[in-house]
Amino acid sequence: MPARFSLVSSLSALAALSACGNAADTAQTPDTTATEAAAEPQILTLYSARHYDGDEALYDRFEAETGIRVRARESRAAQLLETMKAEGAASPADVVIAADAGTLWRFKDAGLTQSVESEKLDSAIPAALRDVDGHWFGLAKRYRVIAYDKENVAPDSIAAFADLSGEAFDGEICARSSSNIYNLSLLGHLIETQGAEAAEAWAGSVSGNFARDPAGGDTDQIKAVAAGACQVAIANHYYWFRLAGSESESDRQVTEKTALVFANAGDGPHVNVTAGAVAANAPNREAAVAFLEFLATETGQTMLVAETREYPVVAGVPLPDGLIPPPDAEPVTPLSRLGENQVAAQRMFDRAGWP
Amino acid sequence: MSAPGPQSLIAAGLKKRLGGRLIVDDVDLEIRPNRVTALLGASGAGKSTVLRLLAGLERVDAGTVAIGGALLSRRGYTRPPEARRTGLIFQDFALFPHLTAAENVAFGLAHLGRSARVAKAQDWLERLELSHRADAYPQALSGGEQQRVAIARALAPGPDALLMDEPFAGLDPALREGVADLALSAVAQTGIPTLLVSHDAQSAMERADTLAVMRAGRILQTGTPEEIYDRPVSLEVAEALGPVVTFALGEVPSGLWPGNAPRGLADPVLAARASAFRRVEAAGCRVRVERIARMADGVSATVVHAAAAFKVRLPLEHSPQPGDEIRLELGRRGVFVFAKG
Amino acid sequence: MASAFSPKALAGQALLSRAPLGLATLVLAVPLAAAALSAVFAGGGEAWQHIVSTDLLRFSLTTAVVLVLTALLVIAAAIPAAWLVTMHAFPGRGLFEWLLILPLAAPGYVVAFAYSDLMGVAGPLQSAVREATGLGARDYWFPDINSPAGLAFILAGTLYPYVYLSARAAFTTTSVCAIEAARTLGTPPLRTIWRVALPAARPAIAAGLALALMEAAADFGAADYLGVRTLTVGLFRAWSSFGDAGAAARMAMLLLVLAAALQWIERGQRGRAGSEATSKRWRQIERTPLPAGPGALAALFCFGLVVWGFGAPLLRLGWIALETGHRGAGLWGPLATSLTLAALGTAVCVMLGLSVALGVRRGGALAQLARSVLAGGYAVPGAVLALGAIVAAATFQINLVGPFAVLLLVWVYACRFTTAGAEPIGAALARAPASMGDAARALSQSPAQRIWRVELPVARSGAWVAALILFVEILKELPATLMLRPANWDTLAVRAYDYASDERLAAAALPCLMIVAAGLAPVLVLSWQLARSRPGQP
Repeated sequence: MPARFSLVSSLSALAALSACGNAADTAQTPDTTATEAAAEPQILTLYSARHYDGDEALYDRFEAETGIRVRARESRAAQLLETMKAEGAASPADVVIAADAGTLWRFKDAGLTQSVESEKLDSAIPAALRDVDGHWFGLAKRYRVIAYDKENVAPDSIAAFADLSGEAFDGEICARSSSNIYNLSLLGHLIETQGAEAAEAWAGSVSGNFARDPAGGDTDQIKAVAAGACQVAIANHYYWFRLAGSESESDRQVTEKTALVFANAGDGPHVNVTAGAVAANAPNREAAVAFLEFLATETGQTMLVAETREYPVVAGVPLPDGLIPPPDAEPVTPLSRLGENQVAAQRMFDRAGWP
Repeated sequence: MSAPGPQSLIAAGLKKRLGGRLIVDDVDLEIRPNRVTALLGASGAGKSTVLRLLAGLERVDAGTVAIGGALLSRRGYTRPPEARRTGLIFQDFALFPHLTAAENVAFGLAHLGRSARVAKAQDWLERLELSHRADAYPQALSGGEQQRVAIARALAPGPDALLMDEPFAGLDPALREGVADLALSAVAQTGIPTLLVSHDAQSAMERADTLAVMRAGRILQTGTPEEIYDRPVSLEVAEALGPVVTFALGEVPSGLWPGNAPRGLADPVLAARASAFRRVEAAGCRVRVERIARMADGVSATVVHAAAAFKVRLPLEHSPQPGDEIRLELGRRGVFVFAKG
Repeated sequence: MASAFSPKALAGQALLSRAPLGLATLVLAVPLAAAALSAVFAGGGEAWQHIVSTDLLRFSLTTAVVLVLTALLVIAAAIPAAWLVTMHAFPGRGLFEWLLILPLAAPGYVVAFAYSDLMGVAGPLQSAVREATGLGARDYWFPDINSPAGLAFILAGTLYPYVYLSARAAFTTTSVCAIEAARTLGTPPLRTIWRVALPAARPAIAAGLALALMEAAADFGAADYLGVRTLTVGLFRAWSSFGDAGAAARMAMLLLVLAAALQWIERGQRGRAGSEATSKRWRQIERTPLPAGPGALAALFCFGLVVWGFGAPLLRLGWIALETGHRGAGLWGPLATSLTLAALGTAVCVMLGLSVALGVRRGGALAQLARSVLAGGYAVPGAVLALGAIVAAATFQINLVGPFAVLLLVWVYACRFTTAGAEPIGAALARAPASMGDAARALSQSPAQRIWRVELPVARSGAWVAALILFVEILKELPATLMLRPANWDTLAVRAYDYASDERLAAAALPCLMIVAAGLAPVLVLSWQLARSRPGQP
């Protein structure tokens, strides 16, 4: 559609108004991107669903090591997905980073990623944390854990998520609402390990054990345990560690009253990843692979998780400040199944009465 | 200006329909130079619409508007107001609130150079005795001052005609006379044809050289104020110029009117101006005075005869007291006989 | 002079007065129409079936509950405050008169972030309760902020100024004479309020309340953060997590019906108010001083309202920002984006607002249509309009990428907010004499000159006010920006929302405070403008 392209170029003045000064690349056809890439120091276009202040330093470090400059476009995952669909073959995206394996599965499903064969990535990243076809690679881990009241709960009694359905926790559980992606992924995992029927029964029993209606985020659930509103809460591990490292006195007090269990979801703890993929139409495929490989090095890993307090996926990389060592067991269920089970999980929650 | 001097503004056969109603119905009007023509009528008579048709603010449905032989409006053609050289004065003054008095006056002088413009605006403000208010904004001016600025503004560009819509109705009665005199003398100096739309018969008669009485979209009669006051063509015209007492000719109280009705009228009605009644010592018609109200120039007496009650105007020196029995008679002036309806 | 009535000039005249208006109407009607059409024609997708079977009734009921509670709270807060401030003298009255407007600067989502933290089980309030009483977290009742009632509490706290302003204006202008008449007829003061003042002010109050409820129904950020599933939240989630625009559009239809109902109420009441407000006579009100006790109570009441919608939430966010020492280094980009988008949107809305206000002043059917479309857009939640724009763009196969997305976003801003700009411009024009335009034409000015030399200068003061209001509104806008902005076009509002929903309240606090700070200046100017524009006031 040539008319559209002429419109695009006439609007490039508007693009120049972009606050971050680099939206203009959206108006470029692949050809111009290619020539530009050849003429100047190589540029890598990253579509990222993360917003962390420290990411700039990460990109600078990559440029220092490889001479490739990273141009990041940050937005929500759903929007990046729609953008890439719309851009089609003209998409300038080289690498996509999203904070959830389920999301990467959606990119792959839409044909927006490509298979990568990289010795470095395959050896550094455990098989369960990357796509079977090499479409995406887990770069940082998070655990869905159970936070508990140190005074009243024995950690043994909550070794598995299944324990939460017992009568012992009647009126003692705090959890956030079911529409949250973390809960959807957890139930998706349980569907895989226990079967749909048992998973639905579990959701029903747990919601029957709630101390109060689900409200707020994971942090609020942990704080509720500390305040005595319930004895156990389901949360991501890093929310607890962020409280522990907070500047706020009252936040730190929360973590003095509570502790974490890396609860078993049937075949090990429930893990999800921040993951990266090479875009299907990446103009700079080699640079894209290099960037993912850089993120799987010790430097890349350390910088990636320093602020988020996720766990590195590469063995031997030192943990961010304050994190306790994760369980040894690596997950068995392929993470891509979590995304595939998402819609089923939501309906299951709705039927089970988990708001 | 190629024209030899001011020319008449002439409307012929004007018709205007608004919202399905015929607001202006076949109006002919000649507004001549060196005179003030007043269009008199109650509100809703269609006066303002006639003015808007003359100004080009509305399109005519039929008829023509022309000045000095140049056609301004006909069906399907309206020379826009900005091309008509017609001055307009509004009841709400319509000053531009963002401009000073002098800037308002200079507004229509855009074709002149700056210094000429300023000089001309000053000149017109002076003529209307406003030089000291030149730099004031409209909201700081009194109503009378605002209307004088509006008149200066309308006259400054040297229009071919001036149209005034109830120009003095918005003013304090105490100020009205002074502003009107000053304004009309300024207008008179220019000699341009001037239309004054008014609902106030008294002021229209005082200020106009020619009067046109309008009602329900039609012009009923045109003439000098004297002609119309003394020889109205219909009861409606008579009533338009002041209070009138009417009797069916067969029911005129005996002794009140010595005259004879013209023959051949169906259902004749006697109409007498309230001021046409005279108090007499003998003869006449006996009435009882019910109430007396003091007016500026006499009294208004409510009198009763048999079952009929009516109001008459009497000079101050002949004022009776309530309860008095007096005798009244009608003279010749101000008494008319019309066919009913 | 010949050129003045040449066919070309006449065509120019028609073009000047009609074309911008027609164009504006057309452009602004598209998203509304697109949302409506897609709702009608989109097949009942699987997601829609799911929503109908589980949530739709609950979404609707929740929305209804929130609106009713918000209305009650707003009325209970705003009307007594307006009455006290206009009719009585008490300590701090002059200060409260304008302090009570401040909540207008705080978007609902910002207030929701703060209250959620303040009132949570581990928040400072409940902790204080436990410390003072020695009770456990489950031994006492505490209001739940994450509930429809909590949402209503927050929305009412930010929206009561709408009713406060309209009630104050009504008490000041329309009913003073009636109140005095009632007193001379021997009615005691309290009964006077019930029998005279309130009925006389009712149209104004209803109009203000309708506006407040439109805002409440359109809220996305606060409801989503508190986990209260209103229709607007449902719409957003249907679009973003199920990727089903059809299901979202049907929820948009329900919201459109709601908006139309509110607008109908507002219109009807405004018409009734019109006949009363025509008098320009205005008298200095003799304020009755309150005795010490009631005076202190009145001051306390007003103080409480200011704390509720403005003081408490902002102090809390300020405290969080200070305590955690968040530097907000990454906020320069979003700040620049916010300012860029707000400036672009404001420019477009002011231009459209000018053409609409000028068109409306000339009258005609098109002007009425334009006005209705605009008022309709204002009543419709931003999420619905964004959805409509997305559907329209998809229909014309326009990719929502880069500049197009920005254009689309500005387009949605225009649909939503132009009426807010047209109002003050219209008001400025209305203060000028009705025959001003005719006077200009009679002074040999072409229509173009008339617009340039008379109407634009007269409208200028209104345009400034409009620009201020629009700038703040666009700065605060969340749902449409969230749905349409291209990558790297995060605004402060989007960033605050993202941080807060990622449970990084410390990081969210600073952008929140920046939004409120940016909104404060215009609100203060507006308050000053309102005080000045009162007839009879020098």
